[in-house]
Amino acid sequence: MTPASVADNRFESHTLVVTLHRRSGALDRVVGLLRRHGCTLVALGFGPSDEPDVDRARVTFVGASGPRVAQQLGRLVDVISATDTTRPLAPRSAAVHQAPFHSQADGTSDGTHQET
Amino acid sequence: MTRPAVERTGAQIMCEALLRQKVEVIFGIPGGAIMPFYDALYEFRDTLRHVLCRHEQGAGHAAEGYARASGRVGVCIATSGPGATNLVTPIADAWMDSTPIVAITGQVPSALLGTDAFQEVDIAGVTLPITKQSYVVRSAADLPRVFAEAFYVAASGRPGPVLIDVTKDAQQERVVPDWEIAYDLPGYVDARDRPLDWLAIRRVVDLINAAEQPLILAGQGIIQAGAQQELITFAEQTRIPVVTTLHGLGAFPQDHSLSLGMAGMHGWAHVNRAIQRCDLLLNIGSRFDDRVTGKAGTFARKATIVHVDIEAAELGKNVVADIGIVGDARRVLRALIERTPPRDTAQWRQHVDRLRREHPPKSYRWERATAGSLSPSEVYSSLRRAIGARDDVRVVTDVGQHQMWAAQLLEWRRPRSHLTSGGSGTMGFAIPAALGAALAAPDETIWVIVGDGGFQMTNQELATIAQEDVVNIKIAIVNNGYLGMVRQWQELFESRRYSATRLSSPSFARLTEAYGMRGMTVTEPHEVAGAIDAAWKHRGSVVIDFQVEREANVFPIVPQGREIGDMMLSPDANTTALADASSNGVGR
Repeated sequence: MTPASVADNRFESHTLVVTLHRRSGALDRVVGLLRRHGCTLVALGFGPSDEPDVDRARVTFVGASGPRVAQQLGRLVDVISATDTTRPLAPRSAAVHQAPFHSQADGTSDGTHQET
Repeated sequence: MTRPAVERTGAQIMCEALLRQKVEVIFGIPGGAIMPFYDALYEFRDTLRHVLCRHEQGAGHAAEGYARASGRVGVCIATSGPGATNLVTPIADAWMDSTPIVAITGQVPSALLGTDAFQEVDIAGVTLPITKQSYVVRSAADLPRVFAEAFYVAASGRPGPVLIDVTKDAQQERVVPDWEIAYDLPGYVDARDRPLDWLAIRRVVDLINAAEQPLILAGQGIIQAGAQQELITFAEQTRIPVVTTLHGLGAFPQDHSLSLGMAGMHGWAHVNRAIQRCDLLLNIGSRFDDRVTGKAGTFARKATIVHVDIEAAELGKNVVADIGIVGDARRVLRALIERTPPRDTAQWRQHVDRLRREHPPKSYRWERATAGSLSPSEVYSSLRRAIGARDDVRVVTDVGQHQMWAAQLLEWRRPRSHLTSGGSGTMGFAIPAALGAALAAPDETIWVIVGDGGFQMTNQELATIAQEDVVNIKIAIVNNGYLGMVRQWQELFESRRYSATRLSSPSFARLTEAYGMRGMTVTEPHEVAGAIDAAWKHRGSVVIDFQVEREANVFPIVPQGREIGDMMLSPDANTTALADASSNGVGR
């Protein structure tokens, strides 16, 4: 029984929303974990959340499975939550056509981006 | 201990913080950026033992050995720059083997950070992917909280290494420390505190009741949770045989009738075959490392798989389990013991016994040594006899053939009695790790088994052993004049093209004598038992150079990437797959 991720399409993009403790190195660990899993970042948005000392990142990447990366991110001490928000039927090329990530600061929220 | 109104330097606060964590011994080397700490340590020299190692890698592995032998957090300390980067290998080793250590490094003054100052290295950045957490401290006021968090994070949940990098000015800064500490860890949950998934537990109980050929795979998680007794009770109640991983050696006593032995690349044939045959595999506290599973998609292919792990991120990572349970092995086992009715597995155990008779470990254990030379088997059988039923012995192994022979041929009964570098496979681990273990267990005898390759990587720590007057380390070098495991792969898989594996070495006995310790050389089979006996009785640490048969191999071996049923049992049998003859053709 092989994990699904092995068969995962390398060009399929995934989007995760990650909330993390605001401290030096927290985002580095998130990005480093993505790199370690062979992901290429396609889009990255980062900004403060509604809670004090908690930041929110939205990362879109290709190269590994979204649920798997979300699960591994849960291992990081500074990650409070990591949610795969990839739309299940998104076309494979969706990521490159997606509107760039808007942080909460500019008023847009999850799922407002358009898929082509 | 504290006088709240009194100002303390950051360095003094660091020492006090270590004492508050009940640290008794630290391993390190001073240098420019950590000098304020060492100056403060002078005041604490009666309560905080510092062991001056000869290389920071040695200090790091010693902290690991201390942690693994004692179950407590090991501490190593180094200066900035090269001191810090020399800790990278042990930090990586601790990361891979889930060993709780706190590595403390000095850093250049904060005003110089980012300027490529003398001995400046971004060690937090370097170690980012191999630490559970890291801190760069630039203010003395943060030190009490940082130290408390670091020890808590290192030891809790799935243990691991934590780095604390302290700038020199933070060590010098004077503040009134606030020891009323609240952790600032909103993203961290100690998995031991999580509620158990009772629905999953109930499903596992049903699976156990229904299974005809169940098997337990026990990993280091049993040892770290202190769950050996629970595992024995559970296995006896359900009559389920137990196999272990390399790090699981000692999790279940091998003299128990339900013990089958070690699984994996160098596991016994009957163990690997039992895994491929079983219909229910209960993995408790192992992460399905590729050295255990072989080709992951084929591992335990007939079985319903249950995976109990303290780390949620391990569930489904390497092998997809039918049921995953996040939790501490002891809690989960207690829950299972309470709910699983006693049962028997007589038929299945008879079948496994048949597997063992078909390929008894002894029959392919050794190639015959050429006449007149010393077979490694002589060394291991003598050691095994000498250790006997003693419970005051730890064995530390390095990495390579000697490590696998030790895992296969010695009898493991006790948690924390087998210390090795598993996930990282760090040659050079054994000698400094034994130093740490010897300080954690001063009343026990620490046997080191190491190859001639690994011995040369960290044997400068013999000087530390001598200076610290550590007398309970007995080192057996299994010296075959090769980087033996690589040579074996070259023999088996690369047509004996021995590329860069031949080693010539100095006289290890004379080298040891130069360190002021007793050294011996053994070349004849009849000398082996006497040398081990002499080493044991000698009041002082000893090195015995066993010059063994040069091209002995470790069998069985599962070639990398193959399923674990595909075992080579001898060099002639090229990747022979063992048909499961006794299973009516249900084998492969």
